[in-house]
Amino acid sequence: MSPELPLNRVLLRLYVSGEASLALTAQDNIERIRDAVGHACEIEVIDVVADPEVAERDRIIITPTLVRVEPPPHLRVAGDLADVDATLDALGIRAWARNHGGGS
Amino acid sequence: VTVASDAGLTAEQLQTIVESAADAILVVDGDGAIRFVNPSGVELLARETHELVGFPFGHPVATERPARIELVTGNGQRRIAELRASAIEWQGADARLVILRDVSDPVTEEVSRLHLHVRGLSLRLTEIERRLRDVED
Repeated sequence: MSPELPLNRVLLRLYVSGEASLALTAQDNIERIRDAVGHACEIEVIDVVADPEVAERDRIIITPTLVRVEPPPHLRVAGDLADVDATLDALGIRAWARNHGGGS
Repeated sequence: VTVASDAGLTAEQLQTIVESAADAILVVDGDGAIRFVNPSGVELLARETHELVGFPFGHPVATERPARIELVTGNGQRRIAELRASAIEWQGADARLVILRDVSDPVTEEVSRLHLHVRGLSLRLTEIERRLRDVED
């Protein structure tokens, strides 16, 4: 959590695994998501292989998983994130960005 | 009228099909929680049914092509799988039917990895083209 995060920003948490090609693809896709949000978007990346306790704590069973941490509520998407539109819709970010002067 | 009713299948027969399927079959509700998992799903995820039901899977997002994902299983094994998802109604509410196919087999995995590599190169080319256009503008 980032309690200092300004209200007009989005914090996403991306869980990836050690499988290099999958992790790289997920990060490619999340860059497209960052572009689509159209304003400051902070992204934390967690490697569940390097940090298995975090995966257990956050109950991650699939990577990539992308979680909308801020603004609340917490919402999570499981998949390769290739469909940026569907990912943004599932996270409710597009509507939120429109209401806060963002792009897309 | 459905294919199942056309074929005259009973609920018991349908249950047998679902429970015997080699692929993992899950139902994920509108909040992203698992509501049903078949025996292959229990085996693939290496967790008990009671542990999986209610587990926060997340909203499954997949294009027409299956998404290649990695499973964090209960026994610590990592499995590569293809994920497909489609919209269904479950107990009167919108839900997603998720099919997970284990592609951890080395040969299958290598083919998938090569497909992914080509796809990654394509995405990077698109990004380079976009940046070149930005520079030209």
